[in-house]
Amino acid sequence: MSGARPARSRVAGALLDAAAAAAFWPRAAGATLRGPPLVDTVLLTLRLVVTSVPVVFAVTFFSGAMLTVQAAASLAPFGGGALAGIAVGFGGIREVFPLLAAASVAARSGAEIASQLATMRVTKQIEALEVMGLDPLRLLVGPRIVAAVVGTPVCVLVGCGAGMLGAQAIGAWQLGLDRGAMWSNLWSGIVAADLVVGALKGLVLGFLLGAVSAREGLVAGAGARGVGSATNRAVIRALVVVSCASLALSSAIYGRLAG
Amino acid sequence: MSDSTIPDSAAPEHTGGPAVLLEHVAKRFGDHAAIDDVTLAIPRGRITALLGPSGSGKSTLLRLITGLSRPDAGSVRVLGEELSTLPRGGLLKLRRRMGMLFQDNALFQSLTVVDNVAFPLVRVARVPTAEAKRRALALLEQVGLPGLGERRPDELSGGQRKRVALARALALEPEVVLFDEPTSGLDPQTSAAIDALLRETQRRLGTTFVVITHDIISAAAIADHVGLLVDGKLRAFGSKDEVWSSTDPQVRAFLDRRLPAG
Repeated sequence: MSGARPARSRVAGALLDAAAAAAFWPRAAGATLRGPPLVDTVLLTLRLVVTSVPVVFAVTFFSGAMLTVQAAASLAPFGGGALAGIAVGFGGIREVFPLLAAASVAARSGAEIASQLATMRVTKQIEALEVMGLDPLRLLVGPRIVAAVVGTPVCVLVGCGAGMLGAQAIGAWQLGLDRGAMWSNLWSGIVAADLVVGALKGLVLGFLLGAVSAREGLVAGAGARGVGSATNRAVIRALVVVSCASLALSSAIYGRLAG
Repeated sequence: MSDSTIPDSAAPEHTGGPAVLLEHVAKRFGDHAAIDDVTLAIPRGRITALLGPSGSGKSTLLRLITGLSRPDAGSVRVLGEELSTLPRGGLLKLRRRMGMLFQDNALFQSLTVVDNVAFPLVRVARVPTAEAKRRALALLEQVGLPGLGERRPDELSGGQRKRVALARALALEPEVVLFDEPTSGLDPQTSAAIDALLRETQRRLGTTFVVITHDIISAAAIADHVGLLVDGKLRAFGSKDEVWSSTDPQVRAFLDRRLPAG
């Protein structure tokens, strides 16, 4: 019984924290709409894309290759190993590559957003802005949200391309599938709308990972430990939120097709 | 001397009431009363030092004056504006009439020294960048840092960073400048140099300086008025001589432990 109370209070605390985190999202959107500084926004967007793309490329390239190996192995007993490209193309472009791309952005750039803002919080740079009569949300959060919203769709498209290249590479070079047929199968079920939907998903996931990371940075505790904890929390929470949102978006967009 | 009361002799040459007026202000954190029924008026155009040991509520008081924190009870008026009734926009405007030097300086590490000082000019006052940099360099010269504008804050000594923070705090020509432990972490010689700089700057500009410190030597060197906070209560407030000659046992206990003999 005595252990139940702390457990209950921990759950209540976690729920309250989740509610506070979600309540930050409209404020982050508001900060973005108030017109963040142009130069900072452009520089941060370029930085997000340039630093995230190599991570996204590596993660999605190898994921595409792994999906192909598994799909070919699963379909081979039915004589359909050559059709692995179709399964990878569908699942990869519509689900796996956008999610992995957004997760990679969360890990690379979300962590950076959180650590930058947390450092500014613990060194009182954010309070200095407030005392100057400036709005830290507009100056600091707005540009980072815009960078995530613009940069993540770019990373999603790069991830889709890299995943397809990984699938093609492993299919043609290791599994010995016909190169032309493999490439054709990969793209056979994909229409332009799938890529547009992927980019739009990237836009929503970008906003969420940016807002989650920024919020964790802004509420960082004291000292170097506070910065580390905030960064760690930002990555974990952004990954969870991005995964949930990805499922919700897929259900909303593709759920009807399944039915 | 009047303990916990509003002084009658608030800078006669400055009109418009005190720069900062607190009336029956209280702030609690859980069961702990960080500020307990504090009433004081900080006169315009003077240096007022708010002294007290660690944990006495000095920093909480500073946060209440800047509006970064709201009191649980009482009224805080800064430059005639009641903070509790000000909308956010009004509070941001009022803060533009205030400057602050943070204990750890809070300089922007990603900017050069001159860009740090020019920052409020460019972002708040919308001064064109070239003109803002020219003014920032002039301010850096005034605080004794000519030729260091292109360095980063982490390339400077503690005393030099303090001077940069002072230049930034003065950039918008504020009516009130707040200092949070301006000599904390500095060696005695550098502390004395910063004290002299504060004194000289205040005399030149006539601005209201509010200095939060636990350093009695520093307060003795620069302050016109002194307040003493102990356990969240204002134990004394008045001119430096009045407070220094106080017979209140708690005031004496704090002062006698720290003031050099003679």
